Amino acid sequence: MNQKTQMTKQILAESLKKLLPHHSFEKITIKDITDAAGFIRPTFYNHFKDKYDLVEWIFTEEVIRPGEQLFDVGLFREGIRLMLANMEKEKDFYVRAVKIQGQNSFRDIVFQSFVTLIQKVFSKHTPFPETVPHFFRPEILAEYYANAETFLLMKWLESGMPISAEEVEKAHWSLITVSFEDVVKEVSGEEKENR
Amino acid sequence: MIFTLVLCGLALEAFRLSVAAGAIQANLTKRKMIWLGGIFAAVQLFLFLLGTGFLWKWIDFLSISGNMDRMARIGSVIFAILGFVMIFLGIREKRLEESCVYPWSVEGFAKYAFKHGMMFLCVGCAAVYCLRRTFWYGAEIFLILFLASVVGLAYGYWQGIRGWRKIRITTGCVWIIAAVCLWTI
Repeated sequence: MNQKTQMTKQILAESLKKLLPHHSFEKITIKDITDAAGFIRPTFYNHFKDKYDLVEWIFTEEVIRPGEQLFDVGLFREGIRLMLANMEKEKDFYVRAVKIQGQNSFRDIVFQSFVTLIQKVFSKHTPFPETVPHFFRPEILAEYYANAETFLLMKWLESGMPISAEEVEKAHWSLITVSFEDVVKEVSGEEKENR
Repeated sequence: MIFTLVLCGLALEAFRLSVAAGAIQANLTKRKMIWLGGIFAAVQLFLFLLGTGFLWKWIDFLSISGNMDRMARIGSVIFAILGFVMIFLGIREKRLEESCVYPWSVEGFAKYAFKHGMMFLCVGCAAVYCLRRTFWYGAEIFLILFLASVVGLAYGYWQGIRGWRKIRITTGCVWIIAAVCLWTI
């Protein structure tokens, strides 16, 4: 992708971010976005299909891609931390973007991005034999983990990001690494009593 | 007076549909706008004349083609129903999403015009009363639809979808005024 295209996309993204605090996403038109960016309306369609496509691009560029680079070298925890920190930096945008509902909801965008990302990780790091059990097939596992990531992220965003990205990352890491049995024990305080 | 109202209503509807068609195009040249406008006007005129022909046959079958009062009343009822339906749809309608689609082909745009041409068919039925010089009226209708369509495509392409619901409600009001005018003749 050439630099000019990337620059235009970035300007359109900034324009949407500028508009979102003042108007609801549903009421923002493509003309509003291009006017605020200083472009003519048809320019938008040279880069994006619609405004949902623009939101997806923002999420991919700001959150998924930086995380993916760390995932590629096996730094999963750092990747998640970076993704959450990048979202925290653009808090105003994401807290409003999470309200996008309907067929192209923000939840769907997040989920699909995570499915793609996790599938890439599996295909790169884990050779899956043909005999692998059904629920351990890469596409099923990718959906499983993407659902977990999306759920946590949506809960955080929907509540207006009340805790820091660091705290979310710690909770996230515990939830995906600690077994269900250990979580039950911790919640019920059994471990404390045993000690 | 009624014919002027018919022209206004048809032009508003053609403009509204063309705005929506133009707003979802990534690249629309002037030449293409004129082509598409011509196709749109031709299809809608065909549907309009089809409606007129259908109602003419029907009133002929009922042997009331000589009774102008009865024809005016039939037209008035059709306009009234059309008007209320348009206002109802205009109030209920949700915001239309602007999403880029593949470029319109001649065939694709003709299909689009057919798909949304029900109103033109109904107006053709209702306008039987005022069609005496069919050829000239047909030429005027084609011209006004063509202009409205080209302007609508250009407006949609540059400005996007704006006032979609308001135009529909206004069209509904025009049909109701036409219904009242026909009833009181």
